[in-house]
Amino acid sequence: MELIRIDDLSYSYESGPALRAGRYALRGVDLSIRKGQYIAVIGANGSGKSTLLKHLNGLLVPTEGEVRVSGMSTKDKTLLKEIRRTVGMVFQNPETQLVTTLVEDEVAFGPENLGLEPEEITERVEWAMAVTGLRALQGRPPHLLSTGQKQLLTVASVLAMRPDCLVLDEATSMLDPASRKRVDDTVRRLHNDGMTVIASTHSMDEAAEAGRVIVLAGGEVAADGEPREIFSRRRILRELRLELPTTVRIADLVKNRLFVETERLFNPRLLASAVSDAYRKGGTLR
Amino acid sequence: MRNHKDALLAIEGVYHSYLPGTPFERRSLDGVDLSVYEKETVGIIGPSGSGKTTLLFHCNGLLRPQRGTVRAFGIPIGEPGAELRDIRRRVGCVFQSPEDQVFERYVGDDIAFGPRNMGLAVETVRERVRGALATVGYPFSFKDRLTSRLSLGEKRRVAIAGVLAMDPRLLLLDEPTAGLDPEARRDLFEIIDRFKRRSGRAVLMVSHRMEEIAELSDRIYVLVRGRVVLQGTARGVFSRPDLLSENGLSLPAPAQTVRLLQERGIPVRSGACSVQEAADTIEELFRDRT
Amino acid sequence: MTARSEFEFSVKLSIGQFVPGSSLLHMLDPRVKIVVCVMLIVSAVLVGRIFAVTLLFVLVVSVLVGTGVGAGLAFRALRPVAPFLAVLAVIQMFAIPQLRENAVIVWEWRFLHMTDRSIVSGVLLIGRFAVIVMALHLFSVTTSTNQLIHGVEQLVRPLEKIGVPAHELAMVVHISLRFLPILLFETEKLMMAQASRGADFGKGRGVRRLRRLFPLFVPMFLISLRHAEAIAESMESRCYTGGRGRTSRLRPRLKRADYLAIGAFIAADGAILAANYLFSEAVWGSRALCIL
Repeated sequence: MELIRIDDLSYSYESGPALRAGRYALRGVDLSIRKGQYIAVIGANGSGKSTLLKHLNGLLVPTEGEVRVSGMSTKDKTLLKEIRRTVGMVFQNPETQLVTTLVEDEVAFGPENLGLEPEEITERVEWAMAVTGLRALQGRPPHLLSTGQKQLLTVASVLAMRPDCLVLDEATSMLDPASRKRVDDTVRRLHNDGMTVIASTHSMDEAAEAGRVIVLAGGEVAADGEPREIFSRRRILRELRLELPTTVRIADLVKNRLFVETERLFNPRLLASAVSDAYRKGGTLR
Repeated sequence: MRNHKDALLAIEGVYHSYLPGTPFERRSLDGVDLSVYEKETVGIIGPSGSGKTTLLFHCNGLLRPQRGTVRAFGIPIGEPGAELRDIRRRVGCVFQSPEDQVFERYVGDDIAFGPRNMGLAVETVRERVRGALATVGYPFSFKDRLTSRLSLGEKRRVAIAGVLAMDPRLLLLDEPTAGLDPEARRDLFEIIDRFKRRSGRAVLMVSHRMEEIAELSDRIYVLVRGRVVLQGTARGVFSRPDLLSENGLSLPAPAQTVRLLQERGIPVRSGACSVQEAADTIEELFRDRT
Repeated sequence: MTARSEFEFSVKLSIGQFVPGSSLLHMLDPRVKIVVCVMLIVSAVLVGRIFAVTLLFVLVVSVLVGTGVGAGLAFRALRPVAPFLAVLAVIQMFAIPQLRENAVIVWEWRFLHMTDRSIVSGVLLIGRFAVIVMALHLFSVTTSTNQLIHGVEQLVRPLEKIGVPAHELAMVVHISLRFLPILLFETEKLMMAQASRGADFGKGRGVRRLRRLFPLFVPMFLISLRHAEAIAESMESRCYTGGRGRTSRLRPRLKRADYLAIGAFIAADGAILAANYLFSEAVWGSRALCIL
């Protein structure tokens, strides 16, 4: 089932003459996102990743074209609340996303805005804190948490609105590996329970774990497909100055020892098993 | 073993706690020893909240040790009379977010901020700006750009140029590649590498990206809860996956691949840190057998 | 003895910082605390006798200590403003001509005069200020901003009928409070970055020192703008559209303890105010007593 549909979306931060001069941050983007997908959006600095993601919950409204969430156009202001409770958004810097001065209050902020009953809010707060493993932090002021805990808290406070889709705008790029893993694991678990996830990242290693990769360049969709397909298009990636996943780069260097296409080997587990297979089979030159 | 006296930076038994005497008191450094010698890049890794940045701030006197000693170029930073401006000129610090660091309207003025504070003559300042821009790969004309119009990658280079213009001997870098795309990151690596090759220079960097620490550092300190739990060469440190994962740190992908191979009973050398090293390790494996 | 660097303002920052806890004050309804805090401030302004302001000070300190919050942090908050306060008090004591009329001159030198009235007003100034700082501290340390918002909202709600935007007012207070530590933290980082490049904030006084702070203003402004935008986006993303249709996780109800607390406080505060007016010159007719 289609959750988000983007038709011929163009967006410019400029207005007036500059707009007519055609300085666009996004240009002619067409995308269809189905319920339950796990999508990585990748591209260089300034390729339009953030701009695209901010269109998904109506923070930005298309200059041209249209974005529909569950059939609701983001141009219709009366639908924004409904759109935003469907698509929850987590930004890069947790410092500037926290509004309140108490962990529970932060998680309750969204549900309170939705006008829910106190009992329902309390229940959702409990649930969101349990899902993100933040129960132990109850009663703490958010600004004294670690960066990783803060980002988990922003995830919890978005979850408390019970969205169908989670949009993460480089949400783990400021976190240390352990916190990154905690956030990733939480998101992965939610995805397994049916949550649609759209995450932008600089890291091909992270993108490789998604079911679908969308490559943006200069505000346009340069490639869109499964990770394996994307990684096989080496020329385009090189032109866009994007890096292959670390293990694919290793595999490329020892390609003539292996029996499989190297672009399939996009994480250490896959590369290790390919190497050990080749080693056991005798490692003859192809 | 190198003589401790030759260290550009020598930290011994440094202890620090934030907001002492308040309900929020938090110990962030608990007896740290660290030294940096010329022509080397030293990396500090650790989970967030391990005290990495606090430690870095001790290296140029932005924080003073509550206990222990910090000596930079032989000058004890902890002593009340220490000439901190002198130390800060020799120990340049590039902050995590270039927004905190690039504050003038024009690139040229921003880079000149340091040299001007040093009281250099106009002509010398100009030369410093020219040199610093060249080091980070920009022509002199870049000085007339507006800082507000720079991309993140450009801003970070300007931030580094602003520090290099003071001609520091020791360069401190806090998460230098956060938010950069791969290309900008590679450019930065080159700048760092060029810097440390010159005599009497060294780099001390903090990062939670294992890949880049592994690739750039000659020696690594692993900091956990304000203590150094492991130190040594990159290869040495990344041969201790047990200790790293115990402390919430992961291995860089090359080292992880090698470790997975070992777990499958394949006889490979441990601790590959870069793509090339991992490829060499795998190549060796096949070559040894034939 | 350790030398402290010039960049640790957060050490001095204590006002406005909520400290989660389970003291009696934490448990009270925010409305009660707002009323107490406002009454303390108003009383501090109203009283005109040294003994009365001293009693107010004793009252606020005993509330802090008696409820287990402690007064240490509040005293610490007074420290950075102490020099400023002292200067004001000295001006009051020596250089305000109006305080010479109708007063006993204690000491005099050229244009400087110290009279009984000027001494009283100098001491009052310090006393009032201390009470106000402690009162604000008492409130902010024990009240989370969410409680504050709901408290203010409920207190102001009757005014909504005449068009006062109660919720929006409360939210403005809230966001400003949230911003304060962020801004201080950012200023600290910016100063550190500039100091790393040879800027000197540590030495110098007055105008020179102020001039050194100048390069901070523009970037601080830009950083605040950026943060404000980010917070706005984060709020919008979570469906914030103002007070209408918003509910609250907490459903505050005044408990017995709240009534007892407010009753006891009003009695104490009222007694101090009453004493302040009763022991006036008119009643006693004695100058010596009225000075206190």
